[in-house]
Amino acid sequence: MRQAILSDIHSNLEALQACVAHAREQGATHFACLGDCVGYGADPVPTLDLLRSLPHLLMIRGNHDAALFLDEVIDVPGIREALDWTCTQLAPVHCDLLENAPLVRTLDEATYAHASAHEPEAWDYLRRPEQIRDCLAATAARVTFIGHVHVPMVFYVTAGDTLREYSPESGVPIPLSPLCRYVINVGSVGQPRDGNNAAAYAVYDTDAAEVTIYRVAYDYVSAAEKILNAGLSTRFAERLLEGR
Amino acid sequence: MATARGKRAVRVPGAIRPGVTLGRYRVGKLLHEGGMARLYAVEDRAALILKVPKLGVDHPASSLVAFENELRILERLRGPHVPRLVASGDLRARPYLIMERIEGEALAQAAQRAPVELDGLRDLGVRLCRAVQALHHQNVIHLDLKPSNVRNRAGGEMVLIDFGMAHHAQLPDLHDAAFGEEEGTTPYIAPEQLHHVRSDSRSDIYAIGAILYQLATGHYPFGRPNLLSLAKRLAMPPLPPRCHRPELPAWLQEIILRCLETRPERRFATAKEIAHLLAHPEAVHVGARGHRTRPPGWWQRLRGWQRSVFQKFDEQPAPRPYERLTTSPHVLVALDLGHCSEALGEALRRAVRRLARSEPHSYFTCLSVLPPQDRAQPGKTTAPDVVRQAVMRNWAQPLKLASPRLVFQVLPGDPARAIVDYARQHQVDLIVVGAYASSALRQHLGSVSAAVAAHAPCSVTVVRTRRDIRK
Repeated sequence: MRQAILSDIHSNLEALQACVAHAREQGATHFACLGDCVGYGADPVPTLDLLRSLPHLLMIRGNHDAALFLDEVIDVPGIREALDWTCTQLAPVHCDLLENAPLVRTLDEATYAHASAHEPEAWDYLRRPEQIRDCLAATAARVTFIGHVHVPMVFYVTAGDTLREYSPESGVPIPLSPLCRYVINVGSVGQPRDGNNAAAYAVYDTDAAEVTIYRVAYDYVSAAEKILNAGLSTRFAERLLEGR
Repeated sequence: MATARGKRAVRVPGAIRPGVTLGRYRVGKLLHEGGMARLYAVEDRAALILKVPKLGVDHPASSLVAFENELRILERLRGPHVPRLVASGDLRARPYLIMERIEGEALAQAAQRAPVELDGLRDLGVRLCRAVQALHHQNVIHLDLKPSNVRNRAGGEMVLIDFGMAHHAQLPDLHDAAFGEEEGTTPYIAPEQLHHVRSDSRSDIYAIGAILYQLATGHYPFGRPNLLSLAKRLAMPPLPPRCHRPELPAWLQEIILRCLETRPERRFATAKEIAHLLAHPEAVHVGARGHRTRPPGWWQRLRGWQRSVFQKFDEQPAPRPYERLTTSPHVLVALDLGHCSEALGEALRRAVRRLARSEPHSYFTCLSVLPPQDRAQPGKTTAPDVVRQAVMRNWAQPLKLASPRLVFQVLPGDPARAIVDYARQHQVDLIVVGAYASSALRQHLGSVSAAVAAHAPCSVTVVRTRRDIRK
């Protein structure tokens, strides 16, 4: 089975369309979305409709999806307004999709979470070794897929219990060793932040035990224009161009 | 390390006995037992060999890591300089791999009977360097080069085997210093490997130097393999080869000692540079290093030890092996000066000068091809290839390139084919060729640049003058 793992789409329809088309070309038959479907972008409804149409979709709830239905203040300027605006756009069917998604899910050999499998609602940004180890300790699965940081990265614990990280290259398959355990950040579809403005997602090939991170160029100008036209923060549009 | 205890065959899950079938293959007799794995013949398939990692309580736990590492890397390697992977078993259920069996042991035999004569050493060295270059070109660093890990095909190509220690720059590294693994083989290991650096392709250059040293002198660079010999390589250069054999040429010592520099950045950047210099000793710039015939003095040794205490081999984001290969490009300048206008000659010089300036580590071979009809010219006393050499040297004078960066070569045959063959054989990175546009000669020579561009194994720059464009 080949599963495309998408995360942090943030209502960026153009990026999602490009990634889904690319994933189908790679032979993906299953899809997973690791949360943060909304926020920042100007296309929440078409984004969620496209997601709902994907075969064998595994949904995970992210912090933006959760904040949609809460009144909490978020310290990113403009994001509360963006979420409130998003709320006015959504139909009940969209709200159900987001509200009913679990925070963590394990399927066969893989665990899926937005920020971490450990205390998922703390929404930690997993960068430090102890955070990665906590995440690994929270699940028995060999590989855990996460998003939230918006930077693709492979963390792994070797047979000798050393934690390492590896910055993946687009399109180069990473074999999953039976001797290692992995936390793989699949990057962000709709708001990449590693200086490369191409959308990022992963394909998990369960038969070959391989994960491949792909970077897909998409029409970010249209996505940025829509953000400006919707009256959302101009900073959200700028970030799409910079990939920061 | 753990081999002594693991010698007795302990019945462990996953062990394979002769007669068992693995997929389409039947296990033959045990051929070799190493520290990490056993090698078996494959029944009725003499050209194949089976490798099975040693597993279980009596064996180093790292043997499965090394095995998986080798399998992952062999799956990704191509070409004549590595054994072809034929089949493999599931890593979790029954790990094994079946690969091409390469018998030739020319290098190992030469190392045993070392010192070997100079021509033999140059030939072995060039072939070894080509194999290592081909490996680096595929983003893999071997990290355990030694004569017993180098085989050769009947056609002479060297084949590198045993990728258990190797590093692939596009794969997460499975090796683990904390795991107590061996880090290569004592006489050949590079200083930075002792500091657990696994991502520097120049570690293989060090091993090439150690192998050449052994071939040239019959000794290991730092004496018998023990802890002292490991510590020494962090502190000082080895005893100059000419201390063992004073008759060795200075250029060879220069090459060997440059490979064996403690700091990776002071070694050759690529294996193909070493191959080039072994083939063209006249291009070696021999410094004090090459002329030394005495061991370093006590003051120098003291300084070396002192420095080694503070030595750091920071694992900076080292360029991937493939990227490093392009920092010292080998440029082939195809010259046909007999049929070349003054303006085109000048344009070619300008192109070469630009390259030499922008790539300070580049080096150049000027090649002139003698078509068969030009070879025999009755009435001329000087051999035509000597004349060609002289003309090329004359052309190159204004470039003022120091001789180590520039060598001259005259080859017989069809021009385009000779140029392409030379480029393929010598792993040339760029060909610079003139477009000879004079109408009378076009049908014979004008097609050379087009044919070279069509068939070259690398990039080709075709140099043309404005006047020639206008005709």
